[in-house]
Amino acid sequence: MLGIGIARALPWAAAAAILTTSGVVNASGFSAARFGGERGNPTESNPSTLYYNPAGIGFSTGTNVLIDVTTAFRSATADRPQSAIDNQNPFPDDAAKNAAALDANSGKGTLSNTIVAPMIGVTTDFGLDIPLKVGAAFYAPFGGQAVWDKNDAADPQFPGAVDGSQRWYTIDGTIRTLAITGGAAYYLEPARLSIGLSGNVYLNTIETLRARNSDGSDDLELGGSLKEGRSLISVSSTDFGMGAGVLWEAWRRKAWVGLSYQSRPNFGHMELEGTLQNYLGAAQPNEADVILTSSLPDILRFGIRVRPKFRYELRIFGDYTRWSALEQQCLVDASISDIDAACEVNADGSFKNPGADTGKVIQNLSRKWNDAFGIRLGGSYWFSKDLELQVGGGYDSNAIPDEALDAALMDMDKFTATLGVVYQATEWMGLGVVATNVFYLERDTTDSAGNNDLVLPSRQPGNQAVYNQNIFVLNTNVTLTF
Amino acid sequence: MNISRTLLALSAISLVVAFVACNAPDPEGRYDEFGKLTEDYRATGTTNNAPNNAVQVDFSGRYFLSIATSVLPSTPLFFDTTVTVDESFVANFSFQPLKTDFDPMGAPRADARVAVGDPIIVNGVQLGTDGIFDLELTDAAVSGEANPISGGDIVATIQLHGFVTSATAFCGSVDGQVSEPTQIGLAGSTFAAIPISNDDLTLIMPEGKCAAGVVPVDDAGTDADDADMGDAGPLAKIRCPAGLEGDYVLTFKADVQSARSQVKMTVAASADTNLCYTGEVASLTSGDKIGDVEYLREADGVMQILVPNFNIPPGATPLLPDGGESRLELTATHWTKEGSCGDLFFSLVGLPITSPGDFAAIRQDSVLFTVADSMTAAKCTAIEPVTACGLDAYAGTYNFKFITESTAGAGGNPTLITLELATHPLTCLSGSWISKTNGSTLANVQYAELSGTDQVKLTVRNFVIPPDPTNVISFLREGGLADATITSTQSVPGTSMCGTMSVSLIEPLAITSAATFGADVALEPAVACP
Repeated sequence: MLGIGIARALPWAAAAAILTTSGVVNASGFSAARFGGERGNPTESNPSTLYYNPAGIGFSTGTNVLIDVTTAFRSATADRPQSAIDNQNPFPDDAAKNAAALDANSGKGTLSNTIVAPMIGVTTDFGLDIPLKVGAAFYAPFGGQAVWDKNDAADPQFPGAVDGSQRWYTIDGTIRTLAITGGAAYYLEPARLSIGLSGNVYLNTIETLRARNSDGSDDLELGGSLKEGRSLISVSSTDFGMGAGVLWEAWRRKAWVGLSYQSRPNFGHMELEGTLQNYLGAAQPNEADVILTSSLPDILRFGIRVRPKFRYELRIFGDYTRWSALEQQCLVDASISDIDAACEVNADGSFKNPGADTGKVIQNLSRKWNDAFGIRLGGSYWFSKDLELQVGGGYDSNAIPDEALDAALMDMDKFTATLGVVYQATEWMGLGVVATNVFYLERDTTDSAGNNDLVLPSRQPGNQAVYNQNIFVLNTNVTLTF
Repeated sequence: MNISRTLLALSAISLVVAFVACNAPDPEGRYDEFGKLTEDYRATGTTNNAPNNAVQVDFSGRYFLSIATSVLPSTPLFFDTTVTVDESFVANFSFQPLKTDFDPMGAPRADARVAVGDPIIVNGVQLGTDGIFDLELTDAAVSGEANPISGGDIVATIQLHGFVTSATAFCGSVDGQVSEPTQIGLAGSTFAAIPISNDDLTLIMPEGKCAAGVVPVDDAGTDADDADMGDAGPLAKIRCPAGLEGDYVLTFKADVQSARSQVKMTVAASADTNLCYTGEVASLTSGDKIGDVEYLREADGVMQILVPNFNIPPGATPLLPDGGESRLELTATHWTKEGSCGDLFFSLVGLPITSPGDFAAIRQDSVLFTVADSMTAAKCTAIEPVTACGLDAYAGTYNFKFITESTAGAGGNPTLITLELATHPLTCLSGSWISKTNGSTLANVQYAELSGTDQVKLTVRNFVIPPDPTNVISFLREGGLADATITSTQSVPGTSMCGTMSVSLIEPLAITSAATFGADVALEPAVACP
């Protein structure tokens, strides 16, 4: 009965979660998959493996429900030097105003946010003793949100400065990919091998606000007129992807080896559709229908879990995330005729195909990200059969080159330290609390080339800055087994 | 069981904390906040876009046309524009886009204002009898090199609502939409065209909107005799500037004239506060009266002079072999006690002949200025200073603080005063007095003159005192209007100055108050000399 009740409640919970979920960027690029905590890896059999390795559910029995809430406490700073400003002498005849303008366009932007991201998954064998297991899950594998602090001390003669020095890239908003996954795994008893396959529906949303001038500069005013503007983009798409994996019980009840692959959403680049609202200069606001191209990576995961004694377990797992898929994000008017040809750019950011419909390209965001990898080492100790202590540590590499790093999408080399406890309260319910701190290494791109070195349509304000970030993640989860 | 409870409690607490502390993004809210914060900067259509001195006239010629977009009005798009008008006042236009002055990186172009791309042709535009035309540049492609706003190629439909204000000038408002790379409305944009007399277009000082000089509508609202006509407009604010009586040399030329005319104008103060000064115009040679000066007054900040019955002697023009009578309406935006200059609107009494033109007037005994009796000099350029005013070094933007006797102890009023080298011969330096609180212009510095041997005296008229419920002077809490003279007693030109002021309140009461001031280009000054 309880299982039926939960099954009925799940769709409502999922709907509520869609409305409230955000990703928590804490792996490479803007990967956000840390749900499941230490048990979120490709060697497990809990419902989180529908994403990490769909073969995992082949080792599950009965019906399993996992509700995991990732709560992240994120702090970040972006300290923009005056050298990143396009025009170092915007008011040559007014030294005081000149200094004030440089102050209004530089300095430290700060952020201190709390972000919640639920994950809900269920797997079942329908109560039948069969080797086929199926499951479904809802979660946020990519994205994050940011609400940057206001700078109430900003000089009012430059009204845009109240949104902080990082405003040319981000002020407030969400970049989010939610996934709804259905998966199945078949367990081959003789080989102690499970083979899994999953299909994902990705709900992508980007809704962000940034300061913007139509010429890609960070000028505040010109000729006595307000120049600094704002662009609010609200776009979304629904895309599809697939996952596949194998999980092999290499040593009966003592060792498991897993390998999985998640395809790129939409198997290539995505096109998010929506609107762009602008305040440009002193003009009245305007709104246009737009398309934003973007790409998300495909991911190869592997893991080994060894439990030589009943009280001990060791885990090593990692991922190779092909962020090189994200070469650019191209914002175009929705009426464009050939988006791929028009958006292709040269190394200097200029149009590669001037004969294409380039007139409809509003802005090219040069990314040129790199592949990244992560490796995590963890272990468990059971004080009793019901009480488990988890510890872990890891490293995730950085996907973003210096010249493309900006405050909207930050990434650094990072280390993690995890401590958790799981208690099997009853035969059918387990509770877990896992705390992880993600230590990001400072990045100083002050002397790097940046988006201000590109030409239109790729030119943007200087993104050179000193970036710092820390995220503390708390995974709170309930596991139900029937 | 205790562990279970502890974990449950931990989970519950962390979730509650998370949901309570969760920062929900609200990008639309902050977007709207920015819109409100900057709405005072945002164009809602500038003034002077609809001059009421438009005329139906053949304005064929080659023009330097600037479109000041509402996005960035200070960097207009330029067009080398050719207009041909036929006898039915149907005009054909050719708009040749010109390269911007600066490239997208902000560097000056070596080939600035050189033609780029194909001209945009618009034919068959009817100029109305009211001097107004409308045309549309449909899907006009403008190269990125001609686009000072983004530097990218654009396609736009540009609608010009034009006013032909003379045979050599037109201007007006712009509407329409940029369609590529994305939709951007052009409402609130303006344009102006000035004649090209030199092939080196880089020498031209662009004008992006109709110049001031719009004739104020002098209307007292609805009139009992013409009640069916409704309210024709706001009441012009008439003021009578002091010290303008005397004899002037007046030179003027209507476009229909082949040569400039020069006469003597004599005015004296009138008891009628709607007229201010009355007088006559007379021949410079014979002294014979030629017409009356019905009024000389300031209306909405513009000087107006009306000569309703200017007598044209027989034989003066082939149009009127027996002579005739004309009406001269003179409007000046630049004027001092030494003289004035501006636009002329000429009409023949009893005949449907009108013509725009220009004028300049200087006191007959002025030792500071002369009026050049040149066939080529026009409007304000006809005025020549006898010697340079010598105040160039005072140009700059000053933090400006002053305190009047009435507001002593209130701490002074932080403002900005900009003093620019005047492009106008009468005013030496001119500029703006700006509120530091909201950036609004409180008043214009009308002109500057030498005070003593090395100090400066600034004349400010129509200083708008904004409403302020906390104003220490209770009768100014609803706002007011004042004139001011600012005289430095100590100064480092271009750096700092201080001295005395005389503030003449006009509204709501006529009171004159002494004041002191300090000004400094870099620092917040004291309110008086040390």
